[in-house]
Amino acid sequence: MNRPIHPIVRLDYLVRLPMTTVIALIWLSGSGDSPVGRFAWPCVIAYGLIWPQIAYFIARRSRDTKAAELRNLLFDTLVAGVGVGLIGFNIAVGAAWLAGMAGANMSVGGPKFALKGLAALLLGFAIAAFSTGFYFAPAPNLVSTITSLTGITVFLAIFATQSYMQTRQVVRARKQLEQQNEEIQRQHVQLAEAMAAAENAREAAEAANQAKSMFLANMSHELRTPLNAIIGYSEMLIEEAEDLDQTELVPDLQKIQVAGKHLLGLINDILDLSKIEAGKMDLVREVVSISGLIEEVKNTADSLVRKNANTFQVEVEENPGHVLADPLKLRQILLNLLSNAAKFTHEGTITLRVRRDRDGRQPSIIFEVTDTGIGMTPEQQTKLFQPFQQADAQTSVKYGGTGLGLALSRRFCRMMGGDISMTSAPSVGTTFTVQIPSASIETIDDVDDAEDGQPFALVVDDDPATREMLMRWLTRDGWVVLGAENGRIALDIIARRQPALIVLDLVMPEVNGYELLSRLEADRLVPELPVVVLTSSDLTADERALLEKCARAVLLKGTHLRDQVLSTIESFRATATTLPRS
Amino acid sequence: MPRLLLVEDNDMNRDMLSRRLERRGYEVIIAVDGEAGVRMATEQEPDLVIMDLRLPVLDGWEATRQIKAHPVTCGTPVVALTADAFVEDREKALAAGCDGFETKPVEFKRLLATIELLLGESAPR
Repeated sequence: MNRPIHPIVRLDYLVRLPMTTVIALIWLSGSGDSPVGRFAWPCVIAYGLIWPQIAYFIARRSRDTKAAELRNLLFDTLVAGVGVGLIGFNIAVGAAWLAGMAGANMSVGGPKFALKGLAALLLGFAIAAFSTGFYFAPAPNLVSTITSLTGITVFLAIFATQSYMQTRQVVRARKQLEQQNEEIQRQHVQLAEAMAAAENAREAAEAANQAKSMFLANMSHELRTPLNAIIGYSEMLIEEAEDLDQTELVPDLQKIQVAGKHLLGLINDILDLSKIEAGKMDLVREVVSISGLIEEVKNTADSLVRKNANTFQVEVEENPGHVLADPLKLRQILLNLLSNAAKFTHEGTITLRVRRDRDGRQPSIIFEVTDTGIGMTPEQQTKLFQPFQQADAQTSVKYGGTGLGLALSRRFCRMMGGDISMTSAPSVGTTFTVQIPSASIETIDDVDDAEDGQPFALVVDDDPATREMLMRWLTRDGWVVLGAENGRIALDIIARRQPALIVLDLVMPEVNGYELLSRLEADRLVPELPVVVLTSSDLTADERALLEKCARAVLLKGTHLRDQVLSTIESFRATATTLPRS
Repeated sequence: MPRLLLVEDNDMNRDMLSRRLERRGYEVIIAVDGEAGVRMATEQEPDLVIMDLRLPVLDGWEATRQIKAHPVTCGTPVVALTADAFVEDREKALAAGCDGFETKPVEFKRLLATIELLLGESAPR
């Protein structure tokens, strides 16, 4: 049993042990005439030798060691009373024991316990008086007086020492507590100061950030204005030179134009990077047709890639499907990789390969740009995706460029849930691999599950700028938004996941808005499914009739479109919840 | 011959753009600040307005609002042409009532396509 024992249990044990001698001496010197004298000897010995062990044992076994020890003390007091009575109420011994027991009880158990002790002592007196037939021998006897006083002095000294040590502990503890309090106060003040400093720093940082954003916006504006003149005049002069048959001027004018556009690209990259770093770059999430995207990239990059007498190959797996991505950013990444490949390759081959990756962690589309150019050493490769880092200092001198393209590409890829990696060997070539999650049934479901409770809206518009703008408005309004560039993609998405809202443009390639509405009507999805139609053109009577039947609202593109769209969807937002999966 | 009102305070850009548009067969009239832009729009009733946004006297957003609020010019398309290229700038311009938004440096072919679309006809050659 490892229950903690109250310190007075040990203290009392230590006090009780020497008491055997004291009591025996008192008894020897004072019980000469006592009627019970002879028979009490075994009791005296037993009390002195055995009781301390029993008392200690009882206290240690008890649940409440202090209460048990107090009971033991009461018994001690009672026995002391009996003892004093048995030797005939010797005045010196009686006074010494009365004072000693009262003092001990008081110091251990407080005044209330001291009163109980007094009662026990008197009870002991009474028991002794009755059992001896009121034997009375009050005359002080020198030996018993000295023994009693010595014994009681030792007895009280032990209790007093204990009490003194406890007081000292209390005082020390209080001093420690005061010190700790002071320390806490001091820390409190320091904390308050630190918090105030942190708040100031935060405000300063916010102000600096504001100033930086403002500076960037202004810098962008101020650089674009003269660039407008540089690029505009050079383009105009190219046209005029061609008209006037002065074609020898055209190449030089083109150099001005290209340099201007390069500068513009640089400004755009820096703005993008600072927006990403400020956490202000919002990408849109759209289901993008890969064949459409690759066709566009191929047409844009063709002349650029062939510039250094390179061959351009595009290999796309059959039915590559769709990716879930920001189409403008994905296009920017691919064009950037192709232009890099072209820059570092002469009379070689540049290949753009597109394939599905079904084995990876998530179904993805892999875009690979491979060149047979100068390649890179392992050291050069490590710096590659850092902003403003090129393979080495010589690169920027020889090949130009800012070193921002790859840093941006990697950030964009990661924001779209994918990544970009590369392998390279000097004078063999380089392969960049872009992985983007494909827009499969699973990923569309994932998108929705990830943001539980938000209703799902679909924006169908072929103009990327309008689509992006609408998606932003809806995202900020609390919707999970997917974009689709034509009705066919929209129908694909609707078949997998029924939206709670469709914002629909009418004039689109492939499946246009009217056809989409007819299909929805045939599938009995309208009028339950809210469709908001946006149009910029005048409508024929037939078209108007179809729209009135199938669309909840028809809004004219143009002034206050945002307010119109948001207030219209607000009116049926209450009923728009996430519908169960079809 | 469609008549375009170009509201632009930077004289180089004004000169360049008006010359390029004239080469494409448009008649171009010019205002150098927002207030003049509103006045010329209401007095001369152009077919379309190309509006810079950061303008002296009256800025382009307010000028667009006034043009769109005026009974004579409320149907006249306004294309914002600005060196503010952020997404928020586009939204701010459209909120003011602009029908199109083009950034500087101008992509001339895209500007022409926007103009043609808003005029609802192919540009005269």
